Amino acid sequence: MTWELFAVFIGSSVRLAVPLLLAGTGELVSERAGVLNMSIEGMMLTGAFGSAVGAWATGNPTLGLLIGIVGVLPVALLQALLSNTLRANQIVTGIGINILVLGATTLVPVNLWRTLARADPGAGQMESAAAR
Amino acid sequence: MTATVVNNRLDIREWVRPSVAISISAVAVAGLLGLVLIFAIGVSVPDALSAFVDGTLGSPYAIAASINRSIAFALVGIGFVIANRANLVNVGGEGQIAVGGIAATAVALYGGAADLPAGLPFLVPLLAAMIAGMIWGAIPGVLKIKVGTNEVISTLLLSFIAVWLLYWCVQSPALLRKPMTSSATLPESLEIPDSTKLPLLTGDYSFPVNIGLPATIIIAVVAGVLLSKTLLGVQLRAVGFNPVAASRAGISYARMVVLALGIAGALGGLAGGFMLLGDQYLLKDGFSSGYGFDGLVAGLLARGSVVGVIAAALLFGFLRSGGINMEMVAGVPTALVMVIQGLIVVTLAGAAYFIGRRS
Repeated sequence: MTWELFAVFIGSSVRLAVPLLLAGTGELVSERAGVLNMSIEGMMLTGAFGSAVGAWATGNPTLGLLIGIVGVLPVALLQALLSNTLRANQIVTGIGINILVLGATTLVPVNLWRTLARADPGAGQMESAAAR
Repeated sequence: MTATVVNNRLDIREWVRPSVAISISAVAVAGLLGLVLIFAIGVSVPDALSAFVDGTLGSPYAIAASINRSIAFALVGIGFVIANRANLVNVGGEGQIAVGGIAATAVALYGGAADLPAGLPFLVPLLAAMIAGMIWGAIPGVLKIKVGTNEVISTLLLSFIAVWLLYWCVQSPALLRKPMTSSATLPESLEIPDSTKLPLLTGDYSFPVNIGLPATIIIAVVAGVLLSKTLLGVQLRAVGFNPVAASRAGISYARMVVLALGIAGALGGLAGGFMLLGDQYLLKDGFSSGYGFDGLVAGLLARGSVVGVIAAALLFGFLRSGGINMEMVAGVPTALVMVIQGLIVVTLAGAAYFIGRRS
């Protein structure tokens, strides 16, 4: 392996580690409070979805990121309501929310952009991206 | 825990009604929300409903397919409940199903099981599946008592290892992949010999329920008796409540942890064996298809009751069959079926609060 390749390898490792680092930090915070946050997968999906929709709607990636962050709060509130207020099993609620969010973030884009694409052909690109 | 052994029985009688009513209404609420969603995305609700009913109860074949799914969920769920009695959480059902499937395929195809005398051709692969699952389940137990690894993490990670091990097995011709005759040979194993397939109860392929059903019913009864009426059940519970007090009373914590997780693993492996020998007949990537996690949720929602596991397993089995049919016949997206399933899990989990409060 050449040094250039090695540098690329290290670079992509760092790049791929960033989302894990952020998610892991979040998990650490909730673990400190005694909540096993199994729904972190669903939260990441929601964040990605919210950011994509936000960036697309506003045309501004930074605003999109903010919308993504705010968009996760309802998921976090649902997890908190179920596991703290209703004292439900944290593993069950985590798995349930993950299934729910995986379904919703797949369902909404496909249908949303299919509808939008009819009104505005420019949105067709997003539909093909979403259908994948 | 305020309940003593004496009034435990009274508790159960008081618990049954509200818990059943609340669970049913939670499922109904989630189902209604699902119908609203189906309406919202523009699929005809009567079409979707009739496709759902067709896929679950519409034909003997549909009923049998739902039951076969429920069997796998029930076995994983019962294993979860047994381990949970010792306050252990087995999240590894998915991996235990996968190693069970691998072991059953290997023994059925290359272990010479097919030529054994009557009964043995399918019993030996089933036994192999149980042993493989038991080993896979016991590893986290050993890790827990030796180095204190949290079993939630180790069982979950072992699941990923098993799922990729399965992928490797069906991709590599040196392992279980069928001989490559052309570039179009799929990455899957050969079909198992007919003699190793589980006998059907009716002998009729239009209602393909196999001997896994009576076996699972027997296992459920044995598990129920084991947990509530035997010394082992008391020992598991003692270890679950207070490991220190239990070991003062002469119960080996290490033995109980490995045993409980081993039993859970064996049942997961058996579920994999039943799925392979009774339903799929060949091993391919994605063989366990999330059954381990559905079984886990069935076990968790049952709150320690074997009867509850059976109810949840039947619910998820029929839901999955109906969902697949809704997708094929009525054009309801898979994602929507997932949303409904997620809603049911979340509402059932949340509703447990009300069950606890009323009792």
